[in-house]
Amino acid sequence: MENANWQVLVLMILFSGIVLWKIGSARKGKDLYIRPIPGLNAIDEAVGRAAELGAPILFNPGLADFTSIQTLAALGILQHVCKVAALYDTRIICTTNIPVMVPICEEILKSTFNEAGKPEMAHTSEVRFLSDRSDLTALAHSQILVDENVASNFLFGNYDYTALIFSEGGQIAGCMQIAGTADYYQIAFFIPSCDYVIMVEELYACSAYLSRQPTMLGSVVGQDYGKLVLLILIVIGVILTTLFGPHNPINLFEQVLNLK
Amino acid sequence: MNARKALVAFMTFIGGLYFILEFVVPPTLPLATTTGIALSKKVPVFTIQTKDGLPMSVPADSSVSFFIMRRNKAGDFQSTEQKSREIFPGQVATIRTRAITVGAFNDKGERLDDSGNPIILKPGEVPFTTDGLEASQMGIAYQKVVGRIRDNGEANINTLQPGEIVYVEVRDATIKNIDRGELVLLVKDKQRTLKIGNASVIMRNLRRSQPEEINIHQVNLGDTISIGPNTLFRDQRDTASQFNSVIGTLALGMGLLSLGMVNLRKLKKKESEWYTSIIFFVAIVGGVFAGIGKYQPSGTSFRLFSDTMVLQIIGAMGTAIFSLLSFYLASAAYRAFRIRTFEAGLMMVTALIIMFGQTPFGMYISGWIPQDFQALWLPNISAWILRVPSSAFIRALTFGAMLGAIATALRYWLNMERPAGMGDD
Repeated sequence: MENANWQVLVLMILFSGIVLWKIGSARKGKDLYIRPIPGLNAIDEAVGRAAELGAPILFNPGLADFTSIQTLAALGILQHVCKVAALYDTRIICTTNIPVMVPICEEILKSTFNEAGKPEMAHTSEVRFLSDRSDLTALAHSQILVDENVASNFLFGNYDYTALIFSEGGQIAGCMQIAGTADYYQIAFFIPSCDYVIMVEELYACSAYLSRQPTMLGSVVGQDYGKLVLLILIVIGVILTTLFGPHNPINLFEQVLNLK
Repeated sequence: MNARKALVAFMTFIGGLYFILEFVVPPTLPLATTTGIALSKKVPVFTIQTKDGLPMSVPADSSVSFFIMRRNKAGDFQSTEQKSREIFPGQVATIRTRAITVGAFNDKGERLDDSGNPIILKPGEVPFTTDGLEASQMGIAYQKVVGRIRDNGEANINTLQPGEIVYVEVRDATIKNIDRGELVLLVKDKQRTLKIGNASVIMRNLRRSQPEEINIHQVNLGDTISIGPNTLFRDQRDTASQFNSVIGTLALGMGLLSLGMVNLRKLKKKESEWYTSIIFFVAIVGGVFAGIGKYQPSGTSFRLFSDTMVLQIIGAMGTAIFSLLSFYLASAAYRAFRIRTFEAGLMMVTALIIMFGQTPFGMYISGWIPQDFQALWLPNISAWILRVPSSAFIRALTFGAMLGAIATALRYWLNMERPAGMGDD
C-alpha cells in the first residue's frame, strides 16, 4: 500500500522545508549560485545554427502528457527555445504523440511570438500531432528531420524505447541535437546520438536556470541542500550498518557484549 | 493577480492538496479504527440476479473475483477487477465464482474436474479461459481456430487439456443484496465481533512493511488486523484519472484536426511528396471502417477488413519499426565505443566485461583462473559492476530525480511558477 509511513512523511516535510527556505532567502535578495549546464547554454547556439542555415528547428516535448512533471519542464524549455527562435527569425516545428499537447504547444508558440512582437512567426511555425503510438511518432519525427532539412533537434521530456529512433534520425540527418530526460535508461541512448544531454534533475532545474528568477533559483539550490542531507544520512547509515548491522562480519556490538 | 489567475491558483492548490492528503492520510479513520488479532471470520455473501433473471447466492471466498466495465486511458471499455468492498447493490458486474482445474473424461463422456467430479455449471454460469481474454486479437483468433473458445469467448471445456484451469463466471449480473460478513478480533484480551459495513476497510499489519489492504477472505487466524471506516481519498483517485481520460479522448479530435490541416496544406501547395497526404486521407477513411469492423461478428467482410488492417498491416509495420532499433543501436554503439578519450576507453572496457560476463563465453575465456581467485572470473566481475557501481549510479540519479520532482511540484503547487502554455497571460 502506497501510504506514507512516518519516515517518509518526515523526509517529505524536511525536503519541502529546505526548498521553501531557500526560495525564501532567494526572494530576500540573497545571491545564489547554480553551476553552468552546458546543454542549456547550447540552446542559443543550436537555434543560431538553424538561423544561419535558414532551416527550421524541431522540438519534441516527450511522449507523456502534461500530467508528467518532465513534460512541464520540457514545455518551459520549448518556451525558451521559441523566444530565441523569435530573436533569430527561425521557424520552429513541434511534434507530439499526445493530442491534448497540440493546443498547449500552439499556445506557447503563439504567446511567445506575440510577446516577442513577431506574431507572423506563429503562422509559419507549427505543431504537428503525428500518431498516438510512440514508435510511429519517432519514425515520423525522423522523417520530418529529413523532409524539412531541420538544422537543430530538441528532445526533452519522457521517452521510452523509441528514444534512439528519435535521436539517431537526427544524427543521420546531420542535425545539432540537445536532449534531456529523467528516464535514466534512455540517457544511455541519447549520449552517443546527441551533442548535449541534460540528465535527470538538471531537466527539472531547466526553467530555473533559463529564467534566472529568484524563486526558481532558490528551489534549485534547495534541491542541492536536500542532496546534502541525503548524503549525510547515507554516510550515517553506512557507519551504523558497519558497526551494528546484524550480518556484518565485524559486529562490534556483539563483541562488546561478549567482552562483558 | 486577477480573478482568473487566482481561480487557477486555488484549483491547482486544491488538486495538489488532494494528492498529498491521499498519500499522507491513512486508509482508515485513525480514531475509529480497531486493531486486534484475528480469531475467526464470516465471509460476505452476495445475492445476485443473472442476466436471465435467475437468483444466485455467491459466498465471496478466495476463488471469487468481481469485474466491472470501465473506460481505460484510450477510452475503450475494459473489464477491471474490483475489490469486494467496492461492489454495491444495484451495480452490474461480472462475477468469477470459482476456478476449475480440468481433468479427464468419464465413461459417459462427461468432463471431470481434477478431483474426479463431473463439471456441473449452475444456470447463468459460463466457463472462460484467461488465455483468450488476455491474449491479443491474433491469440483469440488462434484459440477459435483450434476450438478452445467459441465465438462468444466461452471456453469449450471438451477441447481443453487436463490440468488447464477454467474460470466460471456469471456475466452482467445485477447485485441485489450484500451481507458484508463479520470478523472476530482479540482486542486487548477481549473478544470483539466486528460487523463489516459498506465503508469498512480491512488492513493486515505486517512487521517489515506497510499495512496492506485485504479482502475478508484473505484474513488468516493470528493476523494482526485493523478495521475502520474508509477515509475515501484513495478510492477517488480513479475518478481523478478518469477525468483526465475524458479530456484526452476529447483532445484526440484536436490532434486529428492538426494532422489533417498539415496534410491538406501539403496537398494544396503541392509540396514535395504531396501524394503521401492522399495516402493519409485514404488511411483515415480506412481506419474509420476498420474501427467499425472491430465490433462486427467474425466472418463478416467488415470484420475481415478490420483484422487485415490491424493485425496484418499495422501490426507488421509496427514490428518493422521495432526492428529498425537494432540497426540504430549498432550505429549508436559504434559511436559510443570509439576510443578517443580515456573515459570512452573505460566505457568500452566495462561494456566488453559486461557483455562477455553475461554470456557463457565470459566463463570460457576466464575459466582458467584458479577457483581461489574466482572473483576475477568475468561473470563475477560483470555481476559486481552491475550490483555495485552501476546500481550506486542509478540510486544517485533516483535521489536527484526525486528531489527535483519535489522542488518542481512545490513550485507549481504553491503557484510560484506557472507551467508554460497554461495561461501565463
